[in-house]
Amino acid sequence: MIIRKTTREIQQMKEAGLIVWQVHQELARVIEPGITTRELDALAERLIRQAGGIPTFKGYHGYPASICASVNEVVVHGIPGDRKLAEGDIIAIDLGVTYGGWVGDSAYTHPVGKVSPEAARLLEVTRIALEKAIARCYPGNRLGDVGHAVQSYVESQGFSVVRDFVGHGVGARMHEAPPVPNYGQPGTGVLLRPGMVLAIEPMVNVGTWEVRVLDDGWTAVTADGSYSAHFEHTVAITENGPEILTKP
Amino acid sequence: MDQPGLRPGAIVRSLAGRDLGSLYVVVRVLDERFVAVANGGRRTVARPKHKNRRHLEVLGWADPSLALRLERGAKVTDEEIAKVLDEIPGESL
Repeated sequence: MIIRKTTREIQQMKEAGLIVWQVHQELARVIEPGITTRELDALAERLIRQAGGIPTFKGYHGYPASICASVNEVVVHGIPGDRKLAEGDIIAIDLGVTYGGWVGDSAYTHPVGKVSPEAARLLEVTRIALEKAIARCYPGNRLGDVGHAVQSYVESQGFSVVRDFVGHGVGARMHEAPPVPNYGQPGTGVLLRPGMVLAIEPMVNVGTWEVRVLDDGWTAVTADGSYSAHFEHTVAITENGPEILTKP
Repeated sequence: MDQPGLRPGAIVRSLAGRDLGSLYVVVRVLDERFVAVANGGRRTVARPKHKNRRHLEVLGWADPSLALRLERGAKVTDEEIAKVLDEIPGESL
């Protein structure tokens, strides 16, 4: 069942979303060669709790950390640890905050120092794919339009979209209906209506779209070892079009 | 955090075909268009049904350890699949 939110509830969700945004800003400041993903996770958890929020990911289906820190070929769900970031890496930080009973969820992928031209282009294409998806979030459009916006652009750039993991509705729970794939046919799928709130999150690989999960049951990596990027915003569908809740 | 899509361990409902409305667990990804699904009854892990991705809706997902075993091709019994469908977790719907 798709739970639509009132205008007031959407504004409450924006409060959670702004904490997510602030934490991302602080993490972006400290990402540099030498820092470990565990240090990033500790900083994120401290900042979330200082803001009065709860790290949504921690304990979710047993997930052990407050952020997902997915480096290079890791697509999603990289568990923070002792890995030190190195010049040329790319790192996707995904984080969720529960505040006032509502969840905000977003992700950014950052270059660590100077990265290869291909990696830089991957980040740019994935970021633009998210923008194109959000631009389709008007009442009357369908989820197929959103997915198609991502898939057609990404594939035109020679990259591939991940099928195994998808975006989702978001609200009082992190994962609500409907699933939001990054692929699809225009004019198909769930009709977008005012009050829907979606976590839209293209995951884009340089090589094959196929992924595999490591023995920890969480870490998903590209099947061919190519780099992968991930950007995400929590977006409300309003009468006037999309409102991004995870940025000011 | 994203959620699993049509991958091993996903709990799905058929949107088209004679099995419209039936519930399954995805046991294998075949290619970009098709996945193999089982329900532990008529459609077993050993003889799953091939379904077009576009004809399936993801409702939730099985325990991560079961999903991992499916992905690795490790042994998963039909009883386990049937149990997943009997106890669809409302929390992840």
